[in-house]
Amino acid sequence: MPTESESEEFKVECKHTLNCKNGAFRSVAWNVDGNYCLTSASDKSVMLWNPHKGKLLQSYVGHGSEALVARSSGDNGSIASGGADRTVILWDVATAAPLKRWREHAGKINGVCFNELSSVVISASADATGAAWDTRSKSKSAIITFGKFGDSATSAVVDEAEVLFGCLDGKVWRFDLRNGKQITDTIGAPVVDAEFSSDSQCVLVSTMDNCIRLFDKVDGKLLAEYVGHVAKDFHVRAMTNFDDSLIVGGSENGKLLFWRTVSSNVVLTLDHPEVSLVNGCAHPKENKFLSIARNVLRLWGSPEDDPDSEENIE
Amino acid sequence: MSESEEEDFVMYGTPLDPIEEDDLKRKKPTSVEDQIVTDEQGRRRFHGAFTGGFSAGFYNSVGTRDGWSPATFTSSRQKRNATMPRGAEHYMDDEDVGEFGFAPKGIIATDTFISRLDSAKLLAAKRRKMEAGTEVIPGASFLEDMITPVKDSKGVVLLRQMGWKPGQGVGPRVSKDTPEEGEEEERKVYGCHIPEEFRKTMEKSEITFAPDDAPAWILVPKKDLFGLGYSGLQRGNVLGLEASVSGPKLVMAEKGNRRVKITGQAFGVGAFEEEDEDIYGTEDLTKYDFELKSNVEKQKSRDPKDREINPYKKYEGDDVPGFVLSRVVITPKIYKPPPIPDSYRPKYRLYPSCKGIREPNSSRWDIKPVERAKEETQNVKVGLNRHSLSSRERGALLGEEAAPRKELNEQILSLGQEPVEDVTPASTALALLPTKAESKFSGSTFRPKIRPFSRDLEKQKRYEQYLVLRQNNQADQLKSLQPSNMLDADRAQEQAMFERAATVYEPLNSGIMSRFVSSGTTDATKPLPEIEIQPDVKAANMKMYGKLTRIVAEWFPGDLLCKRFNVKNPHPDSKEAQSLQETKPKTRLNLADILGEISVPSSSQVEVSQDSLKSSDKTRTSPPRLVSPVEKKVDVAKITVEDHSLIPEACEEPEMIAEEDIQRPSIDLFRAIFDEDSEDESEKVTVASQEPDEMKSRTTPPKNHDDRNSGVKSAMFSSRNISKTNEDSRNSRDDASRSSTGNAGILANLDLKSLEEKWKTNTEALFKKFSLEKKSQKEVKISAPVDTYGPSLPPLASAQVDDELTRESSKKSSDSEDSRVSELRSGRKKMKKHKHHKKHSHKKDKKKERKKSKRRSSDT
Repeated sequence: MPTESESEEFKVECKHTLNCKNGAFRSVAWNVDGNYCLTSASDKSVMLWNPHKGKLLQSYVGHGSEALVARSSGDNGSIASGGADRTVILWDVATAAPLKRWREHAGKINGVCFNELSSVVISASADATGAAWDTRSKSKSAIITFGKFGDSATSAVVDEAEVLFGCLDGKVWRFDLRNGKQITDTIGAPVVDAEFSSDSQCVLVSTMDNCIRLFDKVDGKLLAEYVGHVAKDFHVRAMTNFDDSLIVGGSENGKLLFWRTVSSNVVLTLDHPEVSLVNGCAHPKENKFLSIARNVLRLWGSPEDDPDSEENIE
Repeated sequence: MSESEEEDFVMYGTPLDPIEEDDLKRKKPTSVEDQIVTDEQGRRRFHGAFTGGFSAGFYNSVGTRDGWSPATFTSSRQKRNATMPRGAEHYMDDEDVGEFGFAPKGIIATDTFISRLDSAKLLAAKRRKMEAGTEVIPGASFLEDMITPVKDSKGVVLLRQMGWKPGQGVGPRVSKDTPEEGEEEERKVYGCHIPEEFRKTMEKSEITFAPDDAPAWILVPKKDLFGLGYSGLQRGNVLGLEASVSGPKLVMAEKGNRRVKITGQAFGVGAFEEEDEDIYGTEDLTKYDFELKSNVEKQKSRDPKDREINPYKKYEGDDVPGFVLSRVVITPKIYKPPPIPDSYRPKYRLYPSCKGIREPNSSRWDIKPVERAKEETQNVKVGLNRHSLSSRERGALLGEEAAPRKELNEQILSLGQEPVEDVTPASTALALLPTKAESKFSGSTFRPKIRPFSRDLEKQKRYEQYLVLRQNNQADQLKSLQPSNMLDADRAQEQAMFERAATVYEPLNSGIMSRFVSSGTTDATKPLPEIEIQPDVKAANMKMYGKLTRIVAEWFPGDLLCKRFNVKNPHPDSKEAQSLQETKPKTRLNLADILGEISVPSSSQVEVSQDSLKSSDKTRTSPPRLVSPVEKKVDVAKITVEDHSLIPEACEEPEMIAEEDIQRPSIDLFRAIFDEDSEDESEKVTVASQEPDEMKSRTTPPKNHDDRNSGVKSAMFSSRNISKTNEDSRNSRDDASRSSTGNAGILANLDLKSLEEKWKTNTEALFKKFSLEKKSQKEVKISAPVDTYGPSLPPLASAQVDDELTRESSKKSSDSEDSRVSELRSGRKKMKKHKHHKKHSHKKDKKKERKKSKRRSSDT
């Protein structure tokens, strides 16, 4: 399969262009099944889109400052978002009402995610801590605070029973609940984003030295490095696609790059007319990608796919 | 006859009623008891207490006829400054203050001050006394006469004796017919009049009059601030005495014929109004004109008088009589200051004889030398005067060593710069101090900024020496520095205290400090101090990722988080260890707290190594063990490694939650009591809901989730094969461990994660079912990759694989891995039993979530 995919020519085209008229996008994420996507924007709102149809379904307004990150829960019932107003908000998807608002963080929230049961929200904050919030109890304080990182935490990811934080102190902090271990991997450069691969065996780390690195989760060895993009000043994120054959990463010069995971070659570069920070997001089940650049959200898909077939999926 | 008799009488007044006989009886004099003194209203004045008490109020009762009523509250809002009666007179009746009351207000001269001559009564009394000879002192009355108070001045008395009476003028008596000469001729007489000659003869008769009283010419000094000649409202004006005499006080201006006058009356007349004649204010007839005179004549007759009378003639230009304006303008002469001689040095000299000046070193409270000398002389006489001694002197007498006097500014200075002399080695033990350390003392690198033990100088000195020793990893040698008479326990305690203080007050020697350079030491020629790169960062920079860059530490996730993640707590009985770490991670470290903590453990306990306290709960529960020096070294090494990794865990799950879990009885208990039926139902539902899941997972081959794994794995393998071919063996091992942690083959079906995945897919399936769209295309898509990887292993085979894996993992991997597998198994058992309440909650959630997804699907 991987060899096949390598030999294949990889092509995507822009399917939809959605414009958020109010402000710049800060983050984008698919929901669990990839039917919808969530964006957080500088106009303090979190938006739920159907990118396949190009429709805005709902906007969630309530952050006091710009919304920096938003993720949906595994049951699609709730949305967690974090903003520069130092709060993590749990939204009800249908009513767009904030169910909970956690205010314990002292810095802006850079990363948010649900665990697989959607019972806990993990947040990474610029106050050099991470926190776990209980979605079920009425408690307003965090279940647990993760460590004292050396610098602000930039991303939070949960996989099964592991919590992964990227941190600007140049380290990736992994907390293994099952074994009760805290594993700290030093990367060197400030870590902007740390993601698990789709098989959760590897950790993809984007750093501010124009490099994306793939590490083995178990022994912390470096598997591959991906270069060619510009990531010096901003949160340029990178992630693997659904089958881990590709790495999608943004860049600061208006490009979305695709690397082969194994060969670490750049397969494709998508130029955006907005020459600014571009971040991408890979569909959890197929080769579809979302990219955000300024206030434009784009859906990229393979050219063979008929746009009408998307509707059938729903 | 009777008639004639009657006619003879001249009757004055009204005749009395004829007295009847019946009335005579009533003429009986009233007894003493009946003679009641009454007041004006006819009330009895004296009551009770032998009729000495006064009447008061309403018939000697308090209050009024309707009884006593307390004072009602009246708001002072409107009348804020209303003064309440305070004096006794406010409570007194009117008659009390009257002439015959007990507190009369009118001033009446007592008998002694009444002129004897006037009071015939007194004279009579005197005479009576003299006649009777009842005088106590014979001749006292004469003496009394001698000291009669003077009522009139001597002149008045003399005048009186000469026949003067008050109200008369002084001088020879005049007859009425001596008029002034001028008037006589000019006078025009109208009507009938006694002829001149006749009148003169008639008037020249013997009738003489006393001359009119001439008003005394008194120069009144000006006391008010009014304008010249203006006297405001005066009492005299009412009587019309002065006003009538002196006429208008001020003539402001003349307007044509009219005069605008301002008299002593108040201003009430507008500028364009003409003042009415004030006829009522003039009691004197002199105000009226009885003669026909032209204005000029009047002027003439009045003017010279005015000149004389009004001494305050207003200033009219130059012609002040007798004075001429000066022609010479007098300018004040200003003299230059004397020149300062060149030899003058502006310097203030202290005169030792001056009492008020202190010695430069002495404090305000020290006794001044002059006084002291005085006192010394006194001491010789009186003896030792303890209280006049200063603290220094007392100390000297007692043979104490004078403590070094520290001024405030010195202390402040000492905070910033530590004088090197303070740390000079005193004891022989200091020879142990390495030369390196001494060089560091003087160097700029070591300089304790904060002196935590500055109260005890010895201790502070020891602390500073200890810091040096500590820098050279010879902290144990502190014992040799401590005084020999110190107890062992105290020594250990002090060392612990120093240790904590050193950690607290340690200058920012780590990363942050190295980034700053103090402005004092900036030197362009000197290179900036390089940031010390930690080994892991070094390794990372060299791309030697792996063991060098990885730090693994214990982590205590806490019960609640584990519960929420549906994971068994890896440290289930580690609450104590946890609480130990969590004591107060957020509060700032306080020296007082630390010292308080330090004082608790005894000397033996201090030696318990730190990591034993921190890392595991077992050592905490077990009694503190004594560590031999060799062991200790090892432990210290551990600390250095482990501490680093342990620090970040400082703040963990708050204690509250853990307690909450303890206190609350298990949900099973509630279930048992309250709802048995619902449990059955839920069980049924859960079983029913689970079964299709498992069925599906068994029947349908593992979905893209699995194939993804294998795909990536193979990808990883290939990448490794490319990059690092020599690590094959390791890779295979990794592979095995990964398969145990991850999900491979049938084990995947039993893994929790796979359960989750299945549940997800299940919800998806449901989601699809309820959606209006056709799903045929999608299903084809999903099933397509599944076929490529073949069917899953049968359950039997899976069990075998399971066993093998557990065996392998027990051999290779750590205990934790093993426990995890066992935990998985136990978890599975528990699931089947449906007793674990986590499970219940989990399933409930599932239900809810499913419902939600349904709702969502219907929405969309």
